[in-house]
Amino acid sequence: MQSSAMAIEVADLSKTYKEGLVFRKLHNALNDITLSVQRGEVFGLLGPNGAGKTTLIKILLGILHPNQGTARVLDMSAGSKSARRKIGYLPENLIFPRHHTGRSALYFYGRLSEMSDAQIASKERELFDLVSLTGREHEPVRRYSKGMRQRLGLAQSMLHDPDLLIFDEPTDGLDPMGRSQIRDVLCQLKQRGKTVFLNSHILQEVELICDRVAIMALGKLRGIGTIDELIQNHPDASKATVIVEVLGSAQQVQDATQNCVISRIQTVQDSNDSQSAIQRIAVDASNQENVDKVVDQLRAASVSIYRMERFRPTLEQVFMSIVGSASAQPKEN
Amino acid sequence: MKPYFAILYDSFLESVSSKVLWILLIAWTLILAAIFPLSLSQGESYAFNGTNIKSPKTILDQLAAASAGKGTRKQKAVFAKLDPEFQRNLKDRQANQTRISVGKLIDSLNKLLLVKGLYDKEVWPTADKRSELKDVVENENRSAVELERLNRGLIDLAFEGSIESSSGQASWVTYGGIKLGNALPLSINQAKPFIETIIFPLVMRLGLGIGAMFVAIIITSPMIPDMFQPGSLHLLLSKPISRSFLFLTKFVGGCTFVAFNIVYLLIGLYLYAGIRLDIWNRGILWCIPLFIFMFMIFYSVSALVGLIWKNPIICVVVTAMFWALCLGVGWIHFFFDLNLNLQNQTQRIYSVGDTTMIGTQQGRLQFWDDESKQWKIAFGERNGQKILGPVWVSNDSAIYFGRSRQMPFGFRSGENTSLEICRAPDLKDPNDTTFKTKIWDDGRLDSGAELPPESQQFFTWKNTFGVFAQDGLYAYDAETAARAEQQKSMLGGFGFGIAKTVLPAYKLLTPKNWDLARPMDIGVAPSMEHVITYSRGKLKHWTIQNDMLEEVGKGSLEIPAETVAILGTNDRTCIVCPIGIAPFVIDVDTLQVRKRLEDVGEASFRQIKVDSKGRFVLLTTEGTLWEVDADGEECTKPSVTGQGNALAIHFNESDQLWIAHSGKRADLVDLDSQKSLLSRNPKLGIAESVFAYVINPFYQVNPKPAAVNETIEYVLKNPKNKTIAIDRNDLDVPKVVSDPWTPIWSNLAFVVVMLTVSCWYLYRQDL
Repeated sequence: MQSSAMAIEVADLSKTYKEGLVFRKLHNALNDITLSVQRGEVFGLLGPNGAGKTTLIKILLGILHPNQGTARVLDMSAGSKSARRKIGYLPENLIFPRHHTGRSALYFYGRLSEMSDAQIASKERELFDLVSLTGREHEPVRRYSKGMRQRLGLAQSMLHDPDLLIFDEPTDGLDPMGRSQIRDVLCQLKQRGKTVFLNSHILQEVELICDRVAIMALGKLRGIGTIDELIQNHPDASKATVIVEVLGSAQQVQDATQNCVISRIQTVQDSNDSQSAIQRIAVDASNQENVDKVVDQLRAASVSIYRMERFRPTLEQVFMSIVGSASAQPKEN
Repeated sequence: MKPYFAILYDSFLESVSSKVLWILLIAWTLILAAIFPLSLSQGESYAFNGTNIKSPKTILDQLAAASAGKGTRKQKAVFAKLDPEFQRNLKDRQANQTRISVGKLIDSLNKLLLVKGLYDKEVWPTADKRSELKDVVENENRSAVELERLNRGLIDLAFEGSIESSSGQASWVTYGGIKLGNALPLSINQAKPFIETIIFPLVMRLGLGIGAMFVAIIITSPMIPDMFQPGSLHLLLSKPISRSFLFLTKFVGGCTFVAFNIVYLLIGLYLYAGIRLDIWNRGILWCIPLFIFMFMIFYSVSALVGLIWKNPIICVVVTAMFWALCLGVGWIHFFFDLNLNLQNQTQRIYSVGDTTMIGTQQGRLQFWDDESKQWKIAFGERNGQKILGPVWVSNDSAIYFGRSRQMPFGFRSGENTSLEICRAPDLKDPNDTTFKTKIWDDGRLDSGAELPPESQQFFTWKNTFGVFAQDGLYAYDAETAARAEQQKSMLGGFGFGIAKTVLPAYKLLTPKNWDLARPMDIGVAPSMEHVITYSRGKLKHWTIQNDMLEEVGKGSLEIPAETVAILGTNDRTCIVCPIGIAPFVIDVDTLQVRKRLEDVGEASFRQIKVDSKGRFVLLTTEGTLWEVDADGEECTKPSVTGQGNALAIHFNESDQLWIAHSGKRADLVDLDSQKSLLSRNPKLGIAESVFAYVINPFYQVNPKPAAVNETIEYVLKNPKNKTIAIDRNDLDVPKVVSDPWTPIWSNLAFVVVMLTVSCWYLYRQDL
């Protein structure tokens, strides 16, 4: 039987929580989610708090039972023991039992992953090196910083060489140095061709690492695709504008571009010396002739062009736009 | 299974790294160190105590008389050496009939044991001829113990018949070699069964069953809730392990933690008992799995509560409530069981013609009413007294029985025993309505003459009945008793304050130098030609000469002197059944052991009955019946109704055997055909019905963690100590019908149910 190319396949997945003992209220944590993640892909799951990201991950791990829909992981039923054998998981706010050292914790979780001590021993050096914990592995985990604990968590998730790695907010609460170290590990995993399912609300790291991204809000999937696709699909992406930054005074610029179509002129850096002042001009780029004309006239007026780039919305803008519009919709229960 | 072993191993590591474990281990070590100096030491003591003063009243009377210059020289000499205050008390008693407590008498006699100069050759001329005193009389430089022995011997001689002689064997509880309290009138060997049967179970029940168990529940209560910390639980659940097994492994981990403590503590106790008390009781080691199991019962509740509420405090509270519920149900059951089954259990059965009567453990004499199919209470108990007899005397057309307060393990109550006389209710007489309309009360009894001191048994004797008492065998003389009664009325009419017995209503059948000491028993052949007595391992054969019993032979058994035994005899063969030893078949003429009844095994017996043809039926304390032929050659276990559950037996006039069994049932069986001829199966009353159909089923369904204590008591009990007795009366305790392993099965079922519910809950739950 040919194995599916998909690492994760989720179709029409819904999950409703019941809250309260007497007066029970229903809360839709997931609503008809359908997505798939290809093998070897680094997939980012974005969304604000309460979007349903962790619920989706728990269903993939079998910790939660869906009310509706199907979820398959590595061509196996999500949550099945065989599927869990091939998953490495780093949970949010990981807590290690206090009695462990870094090494004993690694052995404990390795044994839980059905590894022999010899197998664990053969990999422990490499992993401690990878997560930069070499030399600290014999210290009790209760003395570890949060970053060290997260890196140890990463090490345990990779120990049994899983086909799929699921990371839930791996850089949450870490300082920039800690984030950078975690990001380095993720990059290495990407280079090794591992499938990574990354749940985060830190957009920069997702933008840097992920091949594809899904954005969730209020339990629904609001967008999915590569980052370029998401940006292309953003309404601002169709507004063609070229930003030109020039050296000169605002008056010089206005004089030079009298017959051109420009959106606005903004002083970025003011100075008494006209050659030191920087003005930013937003040029309508829907017509290339207009752009050429602006450049020609600026040069003809001896205005130096300092920088010039075509505008494109950021992932953050796309995210804010999607999440903002989702929040504006009436809540579904 | 590797992941589950990893979790188990991790639980162990967690325990080892936790301070709680070390604190507990230090606590156990301190407790063991504290009890380690506690021990028993054996020595010689001739001190008086409540068990060896046979007749304190007689002694006080004689001492009071000595205070007035009356009585024997010996008694006067003893009085002269008593402490002055007690002498004044005795003088007061002589003059004003003031009361002196038995305790005070014992204290004064014990002080006298250490007084020098009591011995006077003229007063005690035969003392230096007595083997037990000879050496101390001759020795001028006596040690304190020798002085005690001498004085004790002299006092015994001064009050012969009123004091039981002392073997000098005694033991003390010591702490670090220091004696605590008074000497126990037991050798260490005698004390050991009590320690194993009473002290060990008490320590286990209170110390471990309640104290340590509660500590364990508190300490382990966070284990399951801790498992639910999201940061660690979700990582565990992402691994290829089943939720149920994860829970069960955590459960086993909690039990392992407790097991570690129990093993440490109980091995410590085992070594303490072995090294310090010389009791190497393997039952203590068997208690290890039993206590772990008992903890599992509570922990299965705590674990389920932990799964649901994830809060250790709620775990402890709910587990304590569960404990209280079980305890409450257990107590209610015990209360009903005690009152309806144990106290009401048949202790003896007797029949006269068509009338069947039973004596209960509670001291009630009950008659069978065939019309209502009930045992009717004829005479209620008086302060829980025990029934002696009953015996039917056809000449008097009366049933005689006695009521005495029997204290366990040889202690004496100090109360006198009264004789009660009643007529058998004529159930066929339509005019005899008393029995049918109203329970007979004690007002309908005729009180007879006070029984001889320490009366132990009634037996049929010639045209009357005999009484086996501490100082001899007596025959009731109805005529003398009647004269005494008459004289009493006369004197009473003149306003004299008089004692109950004016003339001796009991004729002494045995010589005055009767020197039987407890434990003792008597067997009277159905022909009444031969009487065999047992006392402290020795047998005596008595026959009738001139209406008196005369000793015609002696024998001894190779058993420790303190062994309690019962016996039965016909004209040729006597069977002696010491507790826990295969019975001896003795030739009556020679008192030599003919054989041992090995088929019976090392059982303990409560009754032996002999029919008119000399056939024996033996009843064990376990309720098993054995039939032995008149020559003691063949021993069989008859297949009769009540076999295995028998409580009392009695041969009727036709040599048919009444067997009281299964609480209040009774069957008349023909031993030859092994068929039941008549059955007395009482209908349940309201209270019995409530117990049988409501309380007992609820109790059976209800988990019974405390019942595991019964199993613990069972394993602690040395098989040789199945029955512990210091006196013959100790064999008459109620038979508790219970299988020691039943609590294990019923509680195991409960644990399985709780764990299954927990696993199901965990499987269904979103975490």
